[in-house]
Amino acid sequence: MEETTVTQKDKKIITQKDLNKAWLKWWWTAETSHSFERLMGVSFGVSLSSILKKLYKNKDDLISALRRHTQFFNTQAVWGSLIPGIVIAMEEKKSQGSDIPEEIIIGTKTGLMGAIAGIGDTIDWGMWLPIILGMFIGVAEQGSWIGAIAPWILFMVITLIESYFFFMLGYRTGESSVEKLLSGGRIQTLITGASVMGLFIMGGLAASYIKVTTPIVINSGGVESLNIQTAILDAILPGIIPLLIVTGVYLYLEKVNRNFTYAMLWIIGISIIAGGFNILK
Amino acid sequence: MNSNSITLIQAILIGLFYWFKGTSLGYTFSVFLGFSPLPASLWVGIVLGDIPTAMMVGASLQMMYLGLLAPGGAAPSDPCIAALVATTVTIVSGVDIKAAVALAVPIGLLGIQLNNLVFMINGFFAHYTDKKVEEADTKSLFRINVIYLNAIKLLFYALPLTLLLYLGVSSVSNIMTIIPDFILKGLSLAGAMLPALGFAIIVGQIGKKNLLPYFLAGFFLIQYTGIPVIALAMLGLFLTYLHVTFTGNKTEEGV
Repeated sequence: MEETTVTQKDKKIITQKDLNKAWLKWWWTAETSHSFERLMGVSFGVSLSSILKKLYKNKDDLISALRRHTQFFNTQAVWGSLIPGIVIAMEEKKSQGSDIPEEIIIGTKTGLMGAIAGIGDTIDWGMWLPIILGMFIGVAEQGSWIGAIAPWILFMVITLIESYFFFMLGYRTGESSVEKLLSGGRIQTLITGASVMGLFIMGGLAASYIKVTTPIVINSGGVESLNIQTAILDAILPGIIPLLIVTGVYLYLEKVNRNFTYAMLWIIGISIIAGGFNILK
Repeated sequence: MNSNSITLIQAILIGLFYWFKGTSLGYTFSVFLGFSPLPASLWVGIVLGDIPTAMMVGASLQMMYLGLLAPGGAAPSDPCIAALVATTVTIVSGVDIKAAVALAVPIGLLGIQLNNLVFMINGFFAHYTDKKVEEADTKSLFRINVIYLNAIKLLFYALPLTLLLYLGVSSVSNIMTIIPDFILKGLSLAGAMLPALGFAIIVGQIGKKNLLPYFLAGFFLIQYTGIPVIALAMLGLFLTYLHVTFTGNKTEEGV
């Protein structure tokens, strides 16, 4: 009796073709039904629906599987592809009679989604995207269409490869992959590395793209005029104004209010005054 | 262009592009449009027949939105609609690109409200989905959440923008020419200062205070040398390698 359950547990029902289809559905729809209530939850269920239907021949089992995968869920869908991969592996085992309680599957989803979103956001949106855009802004500035198409395609291809890799990795190694990934501090090292890289690149891009200077010129005695920007600020520390602005906004977000819209309105308000009165330009 | 307005077909084509961004279909393929105004500007350039001007507007907008992040899916602004409107106005009316960039700021802030509206509407579809789940109707799940839901989005994205552009572009263009110099200068400064918000958000998100010196290192390296981004990235990789190698044990203990 026991031996048969063991062989049943290891039986693979899901083919590579099923996985490819589910991944493609996930990729195609991950954000499309985003709502305040479920976020990506419904899309998760839609992506897995064909596989769940294949696994659960019993209608009630299928309904409860669909139910647990259309509830609240939110992650970053590129690195987060790991999660549907893992869940498919767990559901496959469960449908073969393994005693995996529903709570464990839901717990795996919700337990991973935040941490993985943090990594994915940092690496894809925080690191890849600004680097790629930074490379092509100059091309766009010259009026070439390549400046729009190249970063768009390049970013899509990079994230597409990442997503496929993580989806399949998640399925192959199941929930153990995460334990492996999280233990030994590999993820921590990765995050630290991405943070170093991200901050360094951001610092460089901030210097290139925040071009604010002061047009104030002090006329002393009528003959000699003193240009504050070139004569004083550039001599002490070039880029001091942009750096002060970033620091100011950073401190506002950290210490006063994390609301980006308010921060944006403040910047526009201050700009209209400082720009209108020729204090900064 | 001398007509100071656009044709209905042109307005519809631009509206449809905004709808595509709104569908979020193909994940990073369309979500990219919520971070970068460049493809939107290019599209307007193709539709209105002036790609070089369109790309220059797009590049100016991109600098402003470079550091735009959407933590938890909540973006603070929508560069796509901002680019579609600002590029159209620039090409149609021939106003200064800086003024068009300034126009983009409020449009982007208003545009994000459309997103919020759609996130609410999607909630209704989620409940409709729940009903089909109880019937184990997997085919309907796909149909509801991919076809119906995105068809409805035509009403919330394509329609308002098409109407706005078709009916309003000439009046917006006229208004742009009578804005006082004082405001124009201020808005132009806002266009230059707003990238700071993006960078501040990213730095805050990364959130490791002990790594902040790397930001300063990158900042002053570019400030003094002006080396290309690729060179900066390569140096960054080397620094990352050094940091991870020599602090490896410490970070692992921190788990």
